[in-house]
Amino acid sequence: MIRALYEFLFAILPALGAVLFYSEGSASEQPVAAMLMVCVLACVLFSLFLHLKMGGRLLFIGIALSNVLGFYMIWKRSPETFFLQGQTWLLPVLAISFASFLLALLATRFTPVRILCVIACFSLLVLTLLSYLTAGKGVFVILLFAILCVADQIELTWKREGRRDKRIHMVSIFPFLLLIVLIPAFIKFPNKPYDWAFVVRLWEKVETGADLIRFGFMSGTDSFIGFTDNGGLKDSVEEDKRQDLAITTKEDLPMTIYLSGIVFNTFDGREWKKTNHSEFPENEFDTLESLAAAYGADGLLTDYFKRQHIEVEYLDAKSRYVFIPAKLRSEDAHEKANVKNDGGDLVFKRHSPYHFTFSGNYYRANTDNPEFYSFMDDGKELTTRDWNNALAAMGKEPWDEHYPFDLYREYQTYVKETYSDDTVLSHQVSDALSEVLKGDGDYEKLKNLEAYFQQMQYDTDPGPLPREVKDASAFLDHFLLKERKGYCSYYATAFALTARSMGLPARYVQGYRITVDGKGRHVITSDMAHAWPEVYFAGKGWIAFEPTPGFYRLSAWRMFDQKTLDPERVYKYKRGVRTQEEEEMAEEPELEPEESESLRKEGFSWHSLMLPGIFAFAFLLLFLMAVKLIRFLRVRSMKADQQFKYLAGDCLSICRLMGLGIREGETLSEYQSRVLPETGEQALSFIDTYERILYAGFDCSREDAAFAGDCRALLMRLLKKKRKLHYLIRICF
Amino acid sequence: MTRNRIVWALLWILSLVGISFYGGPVSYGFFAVLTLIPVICLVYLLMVLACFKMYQRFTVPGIVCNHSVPFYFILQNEDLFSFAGIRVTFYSDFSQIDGVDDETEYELLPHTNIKKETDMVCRYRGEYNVGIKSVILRDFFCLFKLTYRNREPMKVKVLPDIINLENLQDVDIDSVSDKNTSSSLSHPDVTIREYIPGDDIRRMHWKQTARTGKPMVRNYIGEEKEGIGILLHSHRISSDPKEYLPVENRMLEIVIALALLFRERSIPATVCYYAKDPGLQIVDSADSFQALYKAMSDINFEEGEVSGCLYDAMMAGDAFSKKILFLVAPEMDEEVSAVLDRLRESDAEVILYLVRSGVEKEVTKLSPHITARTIPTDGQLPDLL
Repeated sequence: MIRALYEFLFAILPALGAVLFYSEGSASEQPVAAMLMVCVLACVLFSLFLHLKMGGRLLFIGIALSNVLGFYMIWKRSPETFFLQGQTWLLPVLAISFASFLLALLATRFTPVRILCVIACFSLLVLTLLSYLTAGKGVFVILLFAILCVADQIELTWKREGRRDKRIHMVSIFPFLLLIVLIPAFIKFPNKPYDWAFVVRLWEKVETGADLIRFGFMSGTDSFIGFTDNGGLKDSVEEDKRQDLAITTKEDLPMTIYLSGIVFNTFDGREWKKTNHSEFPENEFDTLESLAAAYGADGLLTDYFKRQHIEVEYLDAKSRYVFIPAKLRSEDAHEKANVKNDGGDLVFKRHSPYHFTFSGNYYRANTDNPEFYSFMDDGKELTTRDWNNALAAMGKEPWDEHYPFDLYREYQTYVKETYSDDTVLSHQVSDALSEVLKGDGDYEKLKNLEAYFQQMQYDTDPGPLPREVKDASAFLDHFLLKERKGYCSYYATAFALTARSMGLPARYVQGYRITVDGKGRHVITSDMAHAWPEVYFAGKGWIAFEPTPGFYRLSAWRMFDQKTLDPERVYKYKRGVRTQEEEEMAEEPELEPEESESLRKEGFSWHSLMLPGIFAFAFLLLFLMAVKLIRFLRVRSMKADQQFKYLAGDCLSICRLMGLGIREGETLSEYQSRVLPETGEQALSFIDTYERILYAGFDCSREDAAFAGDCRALLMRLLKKKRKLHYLIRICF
Repeated sequence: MTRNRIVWALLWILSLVGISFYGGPVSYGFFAVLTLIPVICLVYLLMVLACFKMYQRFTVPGIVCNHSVPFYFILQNEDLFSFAGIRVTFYSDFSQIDGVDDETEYELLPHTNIKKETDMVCRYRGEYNVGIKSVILRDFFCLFKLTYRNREPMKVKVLPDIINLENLQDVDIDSVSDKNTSSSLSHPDVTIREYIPGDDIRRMHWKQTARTGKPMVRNYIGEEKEGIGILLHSHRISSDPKEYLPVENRMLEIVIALALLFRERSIPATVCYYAKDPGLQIVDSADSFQALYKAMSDINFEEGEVSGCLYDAMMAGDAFSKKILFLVAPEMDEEVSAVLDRLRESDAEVILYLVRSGVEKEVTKLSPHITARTIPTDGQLPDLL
């Protein structure tokens, strides 16, 4: 029985696993419980069949055939009511069970087959991992089977003494193996990979500690706390509250200040890279261009750009980047520390001096004033006069040889080449943004886009980018059509790429965003690190936008000739402007779910099982009668000593059923004296004759055989008294 | 076991990589299963530890040193799950189990037991643990090994061995048994000598004493000395059984062997020793030899300060009147040196047996009448004496 159980374990596990995979991978819904039950039953029957003796096997076949006959007759009579009608899973499950059973027979006997089974299990798991198969509870069954094979192999190769029986060992330790798999089988695992957040935090702390030790000994390091020079789009971000910088402002006005640290120009679909390290004085030319544009426009410079003062103090930030606001007019960083231009950034030539401080003036743009829209889209080109006025405003001499107007043309070309690419919006994205990108000019379109993004969802844990996102278009498709949530880097990226698709040079900037209430000193913590897009408007300069939801930036003041400032237009993104399509969609009533047709099913008719049952029972009776008859005739035809031996053996088997079997190494006499008190002397009185026949070659007569038959009858009566069930089985078989 | 651990560790690292890149039941399930494997293996080991039973027994009542005694042990599994790997280690410092290897590993299926009948030989006299020392259990994946020290070790009292000597290298036995006391073995012809405490006061030579100012006694030519004295310096040299057991065992073997030799030659032997108090045993019959054997079996060597004990034992046994005195000691310490000095003055014939571990046998003549023989703890005693 142990052997049967051992083979059954090896059969049932792959069978159940395969059935579970089959049911989970099947297009239509399958009755999983019924399939598993049939699978188990089939494996049990196969196992029984293998371990029965010839008579049992014949009986088994007979019952199976009679059942099949009965089912066939029912099906023939009324196929539509046959309970197995339409159960297309039945044959595959039976086939799987049979195949598993054969596999078990081989796996329990041959080591290469066992090893192949383990390899097959792992292959199946890999296929499931790669989504070629649907994962479910079948995974754990397969794992259990693999563990069983491994344990079996270890048991086989492990040399020990003592009574060795691999089958008993495996059956006895199976509950432990089952426990290994059972506990995880009922845990609900997340679908996302583990983010190792605590490890990342730990690592960052270690890195910070190492940086603190290394500070002052290395140059050009890019180790930052909060702010980073890495343009990667992370799966999630965590806030951090280290004090990186401090700024001091003189204007007693609430405002938002953006300090640019590093600009990126190339996006590969998954991260921004800085490939431009030109020493061209981009910042100075940008300021000059904007001021020149303002001078060339109607109105005053202060209508469009307002000069502000700022002092920046480095606290814990250890960076080679100089954090500067846009449109910097002048600053003393160049004198105080050795800095240089690096592809639109200002960087220290060595490391940042400890507790470095610099101050300077910059120009804030009146970006949210409606008149500014007209200014941005007027299409005017700069003149030399405007340029010289701008130079004067910057405190430089006109015709400054370092910033010639001719070089400005080259600067424009340089910007277009560096910050443009061939981003193309897909049809779906174009359709989605068709109502958004409407306006009189590019600036208005981008302000509408900014407002559109402001209505999306802010999420610091958007999850990993799918592997198929490999370029800008794919990123836009994913972000704007599927994900529609993320943090500042995602929105800045999407905005910059969309601007590029409109033919406008755009860049991705990382730095700090600080909201101040008034004048004074304000500490910048690392959680204020931010990313935003900047777009270049020819003849006007770079303008920063704020598409990240919840981070809106208001920069608007009344122009000199402006009587009022229309709040409707200024605060439109605060109100939440939706596209026309969204408006229409919001009014559509929700559709009722379609009513699915319920299949008409017949109830299960138990009487359809009766006929096969009757057939099987009838066959069983006939079989038993035939067996008994054959046995009776066979015994009668035996010679006396053969008959005696047969009957004596039968008597001993009856004693075994009573729990009084002969022990290993025990002689018949010892056995007789041991069990005599239980059976009585008469029942075992055949033993003396039996001993003489076996050991002394005694010839026995028919009377002796008849005497053995009487002893058998006595023992049967005893068996009936002591163990009725065994008695019943005995008389049946 | 190392290989299985490495394979498990590699798979576990692989599972960590898996959950870092993939979510879902496959990667996490694989990780969870691999993490649970060692946990369940440990649980299994603890269950085996709780359910495992062992028995051990000797079939003879007394154990004599260097004589094999029948010994058996049974490992039993009365539970429903098999015990995958069981290894039994034995105490081996002072005893040896024949026919059973410490490296043998057993498997116990449910409701089975293993009975091993073998022999055990105890190498030294004394009281110490023998038999099963510890049991090492291994799980079915060979990942872990749990060592369980036997909480009820078998402590046995091993009796010293009785060795038959044919002869002694330093002594002519026949001359010792010579009853002619008119001529002593090798005493010089000295008529008067200095008084030694213990001398008979009637032998005092008062005139010479007054003349010299020192007590002097008459020393009769052919002074009568008879019998054999065996003096045991029962001082423990170390607290480590590995150091003192072999030495003490050999010393007792020498004492018993000498007593037996002289008893068989009908030469009375007086055995002097000290335990808490000086002990004395005159061996001149089978019963007295048995009594000596019992005393030697029960004697506890003294570990602490033993100054003067040897001398007291010697005086208790009247050692100076013996023809030959055998002194059995573990080392040449102050006590032994003091006794030898005294014996030197008395011109007694002394054979000193110094028993030590890890030395070769060596004979040294300390004085005309004192011979020192270094006896190693291993080797056949008849060859050494």
